[in-house]
Formats: sequence, structure tokens, C-alpha cells
Amino acid sequence: MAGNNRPARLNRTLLALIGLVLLVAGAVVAALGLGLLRALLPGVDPSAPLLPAQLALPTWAAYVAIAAAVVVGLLCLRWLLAQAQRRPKARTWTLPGAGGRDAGTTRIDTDQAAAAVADDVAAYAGVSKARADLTGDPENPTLQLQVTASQEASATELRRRIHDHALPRLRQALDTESIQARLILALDSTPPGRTR
Amino acid sequence: MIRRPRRSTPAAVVAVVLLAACVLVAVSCVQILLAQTPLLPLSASARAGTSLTASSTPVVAGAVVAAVIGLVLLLAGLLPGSPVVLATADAGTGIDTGIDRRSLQRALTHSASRVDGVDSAQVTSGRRRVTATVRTTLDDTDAVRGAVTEALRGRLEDLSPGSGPLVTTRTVRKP
Repeated sequence: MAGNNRPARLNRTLLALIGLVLLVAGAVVAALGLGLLRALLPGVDPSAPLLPAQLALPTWAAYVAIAAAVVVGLLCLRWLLAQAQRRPKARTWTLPGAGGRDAGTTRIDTDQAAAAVADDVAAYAGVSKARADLTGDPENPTLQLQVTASQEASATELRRRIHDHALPRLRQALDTESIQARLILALDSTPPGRTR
Repeated sequence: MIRRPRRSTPAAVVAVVLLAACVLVAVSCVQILLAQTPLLPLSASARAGTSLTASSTPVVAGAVVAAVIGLVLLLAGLLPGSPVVLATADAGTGIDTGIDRRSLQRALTHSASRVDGVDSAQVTSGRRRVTATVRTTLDDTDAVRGAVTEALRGRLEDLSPGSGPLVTTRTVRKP
């Protein structure tokens, strides 16, 4: 899995589950109707009415239906909102103190640390947009960068600057040597001086 | 780093449809409890249910439609889909890098269309193969093909050093 790609896993799991339920239910009913399950389910008569003639549902059935609809509806709303939430949640990390005379702890917000990196990268030549997220834990943080650069920009040069400038500054801020960096590069489709 | 589609569109469609169904069911049930006419024709459906059987055409047709929709959703969930981000070499920096596939195609199309003699260009990119189709008014299509291939290789070498995909160029002679 290529790191943070929310909400891909949620979408795929739910789509596969709902799809499987629909597929199995549809296939069973269709096979029943076409008489394909006669050998398997001899007790089920495909020519019998779906519902009994005198159908009277108790009052509590309506309450159950309302409760189920509200629960499922709220879950759907939650699923819908998850489509807009693509960035990892910001957290506050407590960095270990130096010990001795300088004993004490430093607290740092991941979104602020990431925003500082994004500002660094956005200032590089050829970069039009930069977004950064910090995930993982304070000992083993992962920096996720999404950078939009002009088509003429050199990707090699950009990577070298991130490696030589942005990453060391973040290492210093977080006081850790082990930062994993991931970069997704997009090339700007509208270079300056060229109209489409 | 490779990134596959999130399937946000089918997810949003399914979520909206389910949400709408839940709202309709809840409102109709409340209306029944209040002795009002429900939004959904529940009593008519119940009457239909007493006359329909599992072998009735509408029931079988509905079941087949449900099964097909289910299969589509199942495949959307399980199939990886063509990558939206292609992996590129890290050039010794240790940074796990990927490039947005559509933007790469646009950039390569841009590079190809700037080659002398190229009238228009269309580039598609995959993990291992980049294919360019260019239109040219020049007679010497071989020279144009070579120049375009060279330009694309140069651009790819900067983006993903040492791991450049295979570049294939097709030229179409434009009268």
C-alpha cells in the first residue's frame, strides 16, 4: 500500500461488501425464479406468492425500520463525508527532552511542522504548489509531500533540494534522524507564458 | 510509489443512493405511524408482493439487475485499476517518489509537441511503456520519430533517472 491514500481502503472494502451482498442476493433470487435451484432447495416453490395474502405487520416493525434506516443513513453520511477528508488527522507529538540540565519536553503539532516543510518546498524554483503531511510517530515520522511543479522544472533538482534542505530542517525540528519521505510530483499543465 | 484509484465516485454514488433510500424508508414509516399516506407506496407494494412469484418476469429481471450492479461494485472494490501515480526512481535521495500519471502525460505531450516538425502529439504513459503518436507535415517521418523519442527519453531521464520506461513513437504523416 502506497502510504496515505485515504479513503481508498474504506471505499474499496465497502464497495466490495455491498457488491457481494447484491450479487449473491440477486443471483439466488434469479436462479430460484428460473428454477435452477429446484434440486438444491426442493422445499422452495418458485410459483408461490412472495408475500402471504393476509399480511399485517406489527406496530413495532415500523419502529425497527425507522431505527435501522436512521443508523444506516448516518453511516452513509459518514462514508460520504470521508470522501472529502483526504489528509491525515493532525496530532500533537511530544518530543523527548535532551535530559540533564536541559530536561524538558517539546510539543509539536504535526500540521504546523508539515506546513513549515510545505512553505520551504513551495519557495523552490519551479514549484507552484506544495502540500505536506506528517504521519507515523515522533520516533519514525513519515513526511508525505505533494508538489506541483512547472513542466520545465527539473525533478532531479527538486528532489535534491528537498533532500539537502527541507528534510534536514525537519530532522532538526523533530530531533530525529529517521524520517521517511514520500513525494508525489505533479507537473503543472499550464506553464507560464503559454496559453491553452 | 504507486497509487491506485480511490474509487471515490462509485463510493459517493452508492452512499447517496443508500442515504436517499434510508430517508425515504424512515419518512414513510413515520407517516404510517402518524396514520398519514406514506411517501413510498408501501401498501401497493405489499399487494404486488402477494400476486408476484419468484418466477415472475419483473422479479427475475430485478434480481438480474441487482446481481449485475453487485458484480460491478465488487469489481470496483477488488480490481486495482490503472495507477493514478506512477513510481519513479529516487535518484539516490532515498525519497520514495511517484509522479501523477495524467500530469506526466500532459508534460510528455508538451515535450513532444515542441519538437521541430511535430504538428500535434498525443502521449500515453504506463509503468513500463510510454507511447507517443505524433502528426507531422514533414516527409522525413523517421527523423521526426527519432527526435520525439529522444526528447521524451530526455524528459523521462530527468523525472525518473535510470529507470526510464520504453518509449515508442508512432508518426502519422499529415498531408
